[in-house]
Amino acid sequence: MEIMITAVKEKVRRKELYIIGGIAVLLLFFLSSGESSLSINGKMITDFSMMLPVFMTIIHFVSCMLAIVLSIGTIGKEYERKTSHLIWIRGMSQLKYHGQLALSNLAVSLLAQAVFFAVLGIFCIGQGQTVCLMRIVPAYLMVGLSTGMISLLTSVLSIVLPEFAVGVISTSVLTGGVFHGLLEIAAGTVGGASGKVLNYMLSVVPDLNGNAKAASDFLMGGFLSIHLILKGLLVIYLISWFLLIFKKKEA
Amino acid sequence: MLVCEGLKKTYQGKCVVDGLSFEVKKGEVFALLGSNGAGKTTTIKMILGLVRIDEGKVEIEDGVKVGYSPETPYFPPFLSGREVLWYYGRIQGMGKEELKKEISYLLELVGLDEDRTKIKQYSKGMLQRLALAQALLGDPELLILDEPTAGLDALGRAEMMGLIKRLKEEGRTIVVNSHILSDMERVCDRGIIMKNGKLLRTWTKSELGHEETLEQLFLLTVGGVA
Amino acid sequence: MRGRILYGILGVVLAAGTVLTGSYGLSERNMDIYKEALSLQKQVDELGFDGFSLADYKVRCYDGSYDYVLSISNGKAVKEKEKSVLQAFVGTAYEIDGEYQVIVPSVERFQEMISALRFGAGGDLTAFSDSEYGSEEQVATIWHEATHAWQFSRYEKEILNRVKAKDSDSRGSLGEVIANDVDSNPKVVSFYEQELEILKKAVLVRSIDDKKAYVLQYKKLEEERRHLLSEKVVSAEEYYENVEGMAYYLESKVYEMEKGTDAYSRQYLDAIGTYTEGTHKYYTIGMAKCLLLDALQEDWKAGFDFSESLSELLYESIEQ
Repeated sequence: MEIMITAVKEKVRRKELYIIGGIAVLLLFFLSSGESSLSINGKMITDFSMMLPVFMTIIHFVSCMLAIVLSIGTIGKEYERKTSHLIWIRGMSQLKYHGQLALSNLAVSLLAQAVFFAVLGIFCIGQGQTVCLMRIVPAYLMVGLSTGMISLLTSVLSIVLPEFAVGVISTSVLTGGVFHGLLEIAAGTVGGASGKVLNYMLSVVPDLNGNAKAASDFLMGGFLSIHLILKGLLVIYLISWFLLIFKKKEA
Repeated sequence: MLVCEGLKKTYQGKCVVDGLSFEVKKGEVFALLGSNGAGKTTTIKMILGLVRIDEGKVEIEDGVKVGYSPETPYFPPFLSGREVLWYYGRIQGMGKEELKKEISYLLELVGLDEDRTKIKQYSKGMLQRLALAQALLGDPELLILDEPTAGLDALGRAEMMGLIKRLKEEGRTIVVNSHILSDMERVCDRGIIMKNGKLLRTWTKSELGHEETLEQLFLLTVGGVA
Repeated sequence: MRGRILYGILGVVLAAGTVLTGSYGLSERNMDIYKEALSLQKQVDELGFDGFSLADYKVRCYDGSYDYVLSISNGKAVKEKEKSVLQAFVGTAYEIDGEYQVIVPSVERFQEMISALRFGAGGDLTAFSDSEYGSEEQVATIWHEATHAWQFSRYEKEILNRVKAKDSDSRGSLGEVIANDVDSNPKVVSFYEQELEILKKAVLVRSIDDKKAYVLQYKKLEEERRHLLSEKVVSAEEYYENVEGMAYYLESKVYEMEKGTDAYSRQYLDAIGTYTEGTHKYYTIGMAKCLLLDALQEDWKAGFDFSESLSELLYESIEQ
């Protein structure tokens, strides 16, 4: 696991995490001050039970976007600066090599997400929602399924595609996943052939929003769905197989 | 120790190595010479399996460990030299105790301090020496050095050549790629001269008399002005 | 190799677990909601609608793939999976094989729709856009659409006869008519705002005499406003008030049965005084007129056959 540990250490030293910390501080300010003026259909949202799903949606989306940012260049850079040469000649398989780099991306993405959840925890304390606080770790893991999916997908694609293409695909999958419910409704509303095409496309995009919703429901006292957890793990598992399938032809 | 037969490599329709064949004997220092774009680095990459061989084959004697020092080594800047060697040693499966001893030995061999200087503070010469040290992890019999003196000043080059000589005396087989002919003349036993991916000629140190330098031979072969 | 085999087994375990823990087809919750809706029949009967039974109309729940047809067979609630008729997430009453059936999204889909569209795009989607949509709300929705099934099964001719399309040059959907001629006319909007304020007072005040006085005020304003509008627009408004207003009225009563008077007041009565663009205001106005008729002419539903508007019936009741 030397490659993974060193890659994590390298990322932690870079500026991205300071930027994440800055975003987290801004988010905390936004949450805790009276400046958060969200409204739905003209009605101001002030109730914690209404604010929480909104903040969870934001945290979920930002965490997944950051997963793309943190994961997109790792494997490519290894080959760009030819550090891959010194790994290849040592007989390490590409599966192990890329796998460890992908794991490092995942670890740092989850670390970034943890920063946001720490902010959410502080917000819960400020609102006197200690029950919510007790449930924050499982909720974090639930959202971590989305972050994990996106991070791993980005890592895997970066083995064979240039950065720009990886960014476009990962962002598209993220957008489709976050707006999955809305797109399903659009498919149902449009109907006909267009609806069917949209449904087929949605069938390959995981319902990431489901994870965020499950996490916020759990924080408010609901139950976590075993089905969603297993489904999320299955998607991660299936994506991981591409670490075996996608290979570099040359170092 | 190493046999290359009919090596061919094409990049985007351009043939960069064309039907190259040579043999490296055990215990010798063998030079790959040629001007920029001759195909030396590509040849090395084919030997190491870093690029696919379009045609031909590379045979390395069974059980021989290979060490490689790249031309422009990149090491994580936040690590120290010791930590870099630890990193690569662990990747190649060396035990912790064995690795600790080996690292101390190698750092002394290449003349790098035992202190905790970070890579970001290393000079070019220090980086080249660390590259050589990591190539020596695991005590390889065959060493492949790609431009080991690139970017070094005269003193640095002399030190590096001294190291290569010492490694030769230890009985290692070394393949060196360089375009600094004077350095190659000092340490190498044999070599080849390449141009446009083709082998122009082989040469041996004994061929070079008192009147002809390697540089003169090279220029005569590739068609330059002495 | 061993590692890959074990990893493969992990995948099989995950896949099996995902399949086994998933729910397929229509959830039992939707069936429970249908049964709950049926159980309110006696209370709905007390409202006085002539020959209106929910069990007479099949309820099709669309989950995005299929319609699950809920109906009563041999005294039991049953469910059948069929190819979707509309393949769309709509709540409506639709004629299929000569009979009107209720079509609603499954409650899970409806919840997704609400939460997906909750950030300002809800518009005319549903009265429940602002709040949580749950089982009780779905029960109310089913009764709303069933009301339409009842209306069109019995009174389709009368309802459609009242909708005049005189201005053939600008024939468009009724909704477009409202948008073009009502919402975009500031004078009309101003009248509406005054009318709605009075209408709300009329509904909330307890005294019958006060109610009648407010209705008279309302009538005057309504007549003045309608002078600004064409016959086509007025008939479109009356269509919505009659058809949607009545369904909304029944929906609100069912909601009160499910969630209590306080929740009912917050959800339905509070909104009466607020002008909104589009057709949803007629739901509220129609409902309010039904509530006023309940107070002023208890048996108004018996014999109401859509041959007159709720306004006409209401004004007749205060003249008695």
